Amino acid sequence: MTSQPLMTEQDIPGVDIEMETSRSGDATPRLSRICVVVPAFNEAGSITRVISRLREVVPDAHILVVDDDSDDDTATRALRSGATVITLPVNLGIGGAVQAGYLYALRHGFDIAIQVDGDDQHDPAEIDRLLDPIRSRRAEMTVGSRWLGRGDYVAPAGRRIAMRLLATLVRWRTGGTFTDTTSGFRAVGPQGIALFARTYPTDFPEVESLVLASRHGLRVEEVPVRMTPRSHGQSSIAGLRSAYYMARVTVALLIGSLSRKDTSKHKEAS
Amino acid sequence: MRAIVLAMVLSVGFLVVSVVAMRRQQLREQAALLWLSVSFVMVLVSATLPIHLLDRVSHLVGIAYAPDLVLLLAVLFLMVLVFHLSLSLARLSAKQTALVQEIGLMTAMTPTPVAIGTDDTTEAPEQLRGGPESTAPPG
Repeated sequence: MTSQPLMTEQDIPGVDIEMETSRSGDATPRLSRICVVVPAFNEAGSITRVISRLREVVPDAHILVVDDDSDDDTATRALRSGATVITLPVNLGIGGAVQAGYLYALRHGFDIAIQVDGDDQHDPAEIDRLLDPIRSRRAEMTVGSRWLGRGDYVAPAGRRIAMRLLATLVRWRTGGTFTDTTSGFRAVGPQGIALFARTYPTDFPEVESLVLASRHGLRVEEVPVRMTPRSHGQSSIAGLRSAYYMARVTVALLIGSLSRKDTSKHKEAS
Repeated sequence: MRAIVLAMVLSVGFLVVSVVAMRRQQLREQAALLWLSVSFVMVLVSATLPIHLLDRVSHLVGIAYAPDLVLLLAVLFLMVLVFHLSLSLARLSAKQTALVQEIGLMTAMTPTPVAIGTDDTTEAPEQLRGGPESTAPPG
């Protein structure tokens, strides 16, 4: 889907026929079937709160928790809170887990997929801000940024420098200005669902997927959102490893596989 | 003479190990062929120690000290091999990711069983709102 015209919601491949027909009156395509993908790894302490908040704020959305082989009872709690749960038999990391969610959204014919972290960092009340540009067809993908004036999120100095460097690298690769490249609070329309179900970066998914989407012609828009520092668990990008992380992400962005446009993992989805 | 015996024992031993692994189908065709070739080269070098084949080849390519040629070839061979394995590993892990995701999708769990087409005229159950149910049974 590199140079062909953008897909409309009627063109989404992989819609389960049986599922569509089993639900009378719901087969008409409209841009409102929303799937909230919540990747979670050992988030038993926060998953219940995240899901109940989501059900409050977006009651019409389908909530999918992708449990990345957690050691705790994240999956059980998510299920009990009313979410559909995909449990990965082995740990894939955030990229693989999120892609499983996009695959689910694609196969079940969702129009919009929203990505919300399972650690309660992202305020579901901000989802409307993510959805607006997609609903008004101004963008195919939106990313919530905590640095655009909303909320009072504070990051350590080292982290801020790293984030600025990442933003510079991404601007260089995409031509677009992003302030919060590592934000996992995002939404995509049908084109984004199809793209990410087919190919999704595994090493530095948040940053790399921005470049991937831009290179595939998706309009990516950053929107200001409020985020709270995580209440539970640990960032996957923290501590002594951050320097190593920066080195790797720089290499990935500069010479990474992104220069090739399509690395098909799931061929049937294309 | 003792050097030849030692070299021959080692190379033939390696050849035997490769053949046994092949017969037990622990090696794939491609790898088996590779290790067989390596064994034969080792046997060849060992067997030709008395006629100084290695020294002659070294001089031919302009290397004064024969063991240097062996080291050079060994390092090159190992580097290519490790790079090849690195590529295979990446390929395997991509395949594994796809498989794990498929398994996850196939075993997706929904909160409670939902009967479709019941005479429930009130608001749709939570699981029906906004999204389809999984094809997999819950639990």
